[in-house]
Amino acid sequence: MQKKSTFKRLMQNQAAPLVLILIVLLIVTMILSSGVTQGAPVSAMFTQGFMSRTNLRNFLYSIVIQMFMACGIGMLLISGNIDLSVATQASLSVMIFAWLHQNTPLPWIVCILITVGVAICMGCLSTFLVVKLQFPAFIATIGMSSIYRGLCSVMTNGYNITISDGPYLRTGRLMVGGVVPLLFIIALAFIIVFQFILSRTNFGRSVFMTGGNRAAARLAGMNPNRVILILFIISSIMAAFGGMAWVANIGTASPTSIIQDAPDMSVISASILGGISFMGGAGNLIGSLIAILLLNVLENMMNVLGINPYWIVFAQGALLTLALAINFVSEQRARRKLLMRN
Amino acid sequence: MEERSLELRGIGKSFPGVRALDDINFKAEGGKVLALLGENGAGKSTLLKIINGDLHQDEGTVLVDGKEVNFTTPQDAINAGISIIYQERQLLPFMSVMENLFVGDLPKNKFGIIDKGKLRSETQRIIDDFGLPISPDDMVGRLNVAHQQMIEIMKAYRRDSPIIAYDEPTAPLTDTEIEILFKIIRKQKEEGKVILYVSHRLNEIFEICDDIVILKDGKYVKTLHTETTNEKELITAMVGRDIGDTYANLDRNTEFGDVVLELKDLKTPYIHDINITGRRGEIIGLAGLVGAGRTEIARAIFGVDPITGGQLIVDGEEVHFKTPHDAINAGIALCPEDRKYEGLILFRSIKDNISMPVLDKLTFSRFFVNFKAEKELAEEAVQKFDIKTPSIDKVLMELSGGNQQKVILGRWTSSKLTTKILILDEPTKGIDVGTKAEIYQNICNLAKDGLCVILISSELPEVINIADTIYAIHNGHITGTIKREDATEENVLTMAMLD
Amino acid sequence: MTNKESSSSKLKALTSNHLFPLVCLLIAMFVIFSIWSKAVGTNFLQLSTFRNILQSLVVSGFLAIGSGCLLIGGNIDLSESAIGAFGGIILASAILNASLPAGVALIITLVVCAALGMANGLLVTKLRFPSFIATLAMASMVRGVMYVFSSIGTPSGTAANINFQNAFIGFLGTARVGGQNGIPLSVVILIIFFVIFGIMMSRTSFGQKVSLLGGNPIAATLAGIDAQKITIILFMLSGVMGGISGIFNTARLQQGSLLALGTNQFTGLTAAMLGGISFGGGTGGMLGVFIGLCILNTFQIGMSAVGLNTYLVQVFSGVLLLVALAFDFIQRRRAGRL
Repeated sequence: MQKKSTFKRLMQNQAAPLVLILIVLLIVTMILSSGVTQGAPVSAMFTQGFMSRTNLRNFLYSIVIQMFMACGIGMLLISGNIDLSVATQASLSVMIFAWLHQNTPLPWIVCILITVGVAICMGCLSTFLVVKLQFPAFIATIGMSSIYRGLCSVMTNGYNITISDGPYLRTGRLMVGGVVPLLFIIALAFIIVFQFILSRTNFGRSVFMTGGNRAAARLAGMNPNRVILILFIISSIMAAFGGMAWVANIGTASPTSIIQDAPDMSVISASILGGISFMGGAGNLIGSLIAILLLNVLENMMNVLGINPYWIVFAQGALLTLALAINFVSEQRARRKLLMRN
Repeated sequence: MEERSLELRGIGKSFPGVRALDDINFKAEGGKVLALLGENGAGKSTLLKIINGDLHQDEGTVLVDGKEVNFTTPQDAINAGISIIYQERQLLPFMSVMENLFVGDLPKNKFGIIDKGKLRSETQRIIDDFGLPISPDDMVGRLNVAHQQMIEIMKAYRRDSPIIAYDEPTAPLTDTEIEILFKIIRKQKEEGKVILYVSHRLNEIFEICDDIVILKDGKYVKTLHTETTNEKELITAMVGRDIGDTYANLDRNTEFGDVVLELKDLKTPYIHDINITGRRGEIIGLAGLVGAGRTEIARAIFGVDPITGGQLIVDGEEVHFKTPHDAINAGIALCPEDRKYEGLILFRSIKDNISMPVLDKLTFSRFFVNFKAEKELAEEAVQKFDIKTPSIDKVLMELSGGNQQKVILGRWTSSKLTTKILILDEPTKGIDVGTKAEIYQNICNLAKDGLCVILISSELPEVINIADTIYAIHNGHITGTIKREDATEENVLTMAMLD
Repeated sequence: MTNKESSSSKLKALTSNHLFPLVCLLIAMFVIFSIWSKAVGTNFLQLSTFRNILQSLVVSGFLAIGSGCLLIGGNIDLSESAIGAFGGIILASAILNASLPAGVALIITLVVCAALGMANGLLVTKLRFPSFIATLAMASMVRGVMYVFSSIGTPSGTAANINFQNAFIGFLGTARVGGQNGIPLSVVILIIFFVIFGIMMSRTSFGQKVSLLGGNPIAATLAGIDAQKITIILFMLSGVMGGISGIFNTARLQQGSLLALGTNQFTGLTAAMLGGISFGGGTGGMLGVFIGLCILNTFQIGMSAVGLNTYLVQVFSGVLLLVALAFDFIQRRRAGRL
């Protein structure tokens, strides 16, 4: 009896269909990429193609930056805010970090700390614009993204900075069990910790309250502005972490590569697909994680199938639209019952 | 046990152009329920906002248990032991009952993590105290409105604050919940708490309150005791005169024309089987409690909410409006309840707000706006309704509520429109007594001009004294119809509260 | 005495006009760059500078018109430049691959752009997506389709710019009115568009409805303004404006470029904001947008005239957008809307 209801609850979870789709996609990708359809033994599914050591490692590396960003972006969305400058913040953090790492004798940990300090300033700046000056969040952060992007190129006049081999790259490239990057585990830990904070602490609840009904949050004795400040800072720090993880993998800090890759757009899509309400007030980070995996496995599958890679750009937009539509439908259904008119 | 009290001394508060509160003095003692009574705009809400730290008074002091307090945020007031049940529910629809009850103050274990087990059991204990059929895990958004309101009340109960203020707590409640609420209030009273009770419903005040503080136009009038007073005395104190006057002197329309509006078994997701017939020159009143479905009837007629069944007949022809635009073309007009956000564009001029629905008719060569005609139209409305303004270019924000309302009336009755049916949703909300009388006469004049007017109001005397036919609405259904000659507050209210 | 009074009140009216600070800013920029360029030994203040500024207005100018109208109506379109770039590719491909006559190719381009704008409008009105996120998604989809589209028929199957030759399209891009040193035809067309849209927004009932809608969408709808229809028309106009800007870009280069209009979107939006169009919608006009556009382009050309790092232009455009937002903030506060 008890068991059945647990199963039922699991299936009612918003993430359940996502997990199912993910599993199906994963199996399809594993079969297609390993050549099973061309006569390779079935066991090759687990050793070749997608599941080959190199591919799996690359796959996990490639989503680390999105996972970091998902923490900050997800919580900001839940609180009813948005930051469209996350990718440029990551890019600028990376340039600052790389510059410090190459041009100063500071140990790499100190370089990271200084970069985090800069990230905190960026978070405070966004908050100042959005909370104090009441600029619309998306347009203010678009403005900031232009500034950050320009600064990235100004710093080196457009050139890349190559990170010299050393403890930073070695630490960043550590593998656990031979296939799982340490950075992936760190990113996963962040998601879990933040999810825990969201669902199990007063601060987490106040994030939801700020997104759900800001006036009510104030009357309940909370300080929504402080919550937003903390979230923007977390988002900037996570962007910096994501950027530094990206550099640890690639080995070169470029003023444009992260911005062109636009991981923040994928993360926004994933967050909404994962059940975070665009209007704020609902959602969780585990859903975002599953959606990130889903989007990237899909991309991998499209590559395997030899689909024109440009369709991936299209698919990103299409998935965001789809995610919004699903969000819209489920929210309509919920709101119809609300009638919270008075 | 220590004697609790909340005292206000010489409280004054001004907003730009308005003296909202002036020298308010009274003291609420523990173990008693004190009612705050006054007309809309008498200053009750402002007073509550000062007590809860949302606003700060310009003059005077607030004393809790005899000690002066100075609140700057709502958190200060909560810390000082003041809980307020707000008229607008402050709930998180997507969260469970228990999380809503303990929001901002969730029970934690020694690691600072929310203790779900404790949360659930504490919530269950409160639900049991109230005796309601809900579970701690229910999502608040899925509950009905009355239960949502009860959650709001439970939030304050849960804090166990020594000072509790209820702001119109019963508006969305049914008798069952009201009974529970009164049981809770009596319990709190026995525990020696200070209780403020704001309500318009006199019978409730007589049932639950001990003393009644009467406010009028931001001023303290007097304190009465329920044991020694009666309804008549209360009303006289509230309005400062006999309420009959305003209505008795109205110049009414007595001749009705053809039927222009018919609702036959009309249904939307919010209202059920509504049957209403309106004739030219007739004023139809929709009476009912807030949330009963009165506004929803207006929205259905005006093409805002989708009609899911039944017929809407205008001038003998069945109509299907997709948007308000269609409704306006068919001769229907709506003055919405929320004047400022649904009715007007506040930072635009009187002229812009009046010409809004008829811009297409004020053009030459089909495209270009004829500014002269637009100006004349606006001036015509200013004259017709005696809107007090130096110029038609004045921005709406700078007008008083009454004049804003007149601008909307002017918009819908302009010569460029052929309005046959005019729906007025709470037309006198937040408007001072003098202007109210003017607007009542305006409504009667419009009826004389042959309009069918639908009047929605929460002020019962207003509906039963102005409307020719009164429909009582409850829970999305019509629960009774009565002519003005036979209507009394009691019989209409009884119908509006019938289940 | 009276004379003095009236002239001082005229002065007051002038300075309180919301365009006044913009014009001052523009003049100040000219002065600063003239002096600065003298100091570094280049010449900013010459006829060719003006011509360059005007020429550089074209592409962002059309985008700014589209953005501006939408912003006044309370929405935003972040896909305008993507639609424009796609339009350029369609035009080039229609001429090169399908060998269509220029006129037909132009019509096809504009129809596709209008349809994409309409799709935006439908997402925003029917599904009630927030406009910025709907158009962000649309931008991504349109760019994806554009890449795929441009890769069809290329030998390697990779996306590539499409070079083509066409006399009429070439004429559109390079013709000048008034001889060799005259004003480019594209600039003349842009100015005509600004005048037409300026009149439309300020003098027609459609323009009035747009600004009322931007002021308070709920009240406007309840007063009988067909919000959905107007919003869809505005999004279509925005798509068409994107298309026109893509066409002129393509015409000038004789190339359908994949990276076309990349940064112009931002310039267009900033110009619209600088022109006093509030983000809540409801105020501002086309003249302001035009002056805003001049400021941004003068700035850009001035920066390169004095030899500053071109990457700084990006930084300062961002700063200018924030300045525009700050203007908006102050004005809204003064109007009591905050």
